[in-house]
Amino acid sequence: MGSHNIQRVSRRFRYLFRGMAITAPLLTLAYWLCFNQLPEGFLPLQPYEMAGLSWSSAMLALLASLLPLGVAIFALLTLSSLFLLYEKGVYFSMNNVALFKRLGVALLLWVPASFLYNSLLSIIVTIGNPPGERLLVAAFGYGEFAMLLMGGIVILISWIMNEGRKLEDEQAHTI
Amino acid sequence: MAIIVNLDVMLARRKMRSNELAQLIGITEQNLSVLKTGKARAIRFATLNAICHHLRCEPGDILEYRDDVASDE
Repeated sequence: MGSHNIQRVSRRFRYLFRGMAITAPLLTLAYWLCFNQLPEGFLPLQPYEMAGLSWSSAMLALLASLLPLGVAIFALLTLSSLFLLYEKGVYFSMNNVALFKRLGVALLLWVPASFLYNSLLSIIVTIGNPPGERLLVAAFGYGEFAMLLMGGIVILISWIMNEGRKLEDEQAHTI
Repeated sequence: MAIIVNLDVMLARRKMRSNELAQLIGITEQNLSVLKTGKARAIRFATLNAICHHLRCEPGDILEYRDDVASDE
């Protein structure tokens, strides 16, 4: 694939990630504001009843969702910056390495953010239930494990990219 | 680095300008400047060969080892 193609595709990815970073908070806000009007399939799969959420609970859930949302926006903006570098034809600079590392950290951060969000959501939704029906969910599933794995791999790739950067630097200083 | 590049000395002796040499050996003036200022990490045999050819000199006229210069390694 030529450099021109890399730059063209990178531009599209940058627009996509930037667009997602902008629309994600708006969609999250709309999701919790219209939660009770959502069709059945849009409700999150939880071991407790989510339908008929009160206004205050929905707002608290919105606040809780800022945790994974913040991490997601952080990851999307990192990807956007990374593809901006590819668009400029910069593949193995210190910035590329730093952005890759940041992306890995974002993927790792997703795990505690998601864990906390699910726990907080279970408290928010079931706190009004009668004693014995209140739940605190602490879930670590396949998704969290996959994110940990991906975060670790991306950080490893950032180290490998750093070696690539050194080679490119060496090459640039070879006359 | 303890390797000193005496390219500017040879250019002066041959009364040749940097841009002229850069053009003759097929590298950019910027790269020749990197070489002249000692910022290069390595030099290709092909480049050294071309420099020696066009300046009618030996590699030792271009590159010099000085023990008293502090190495950055």
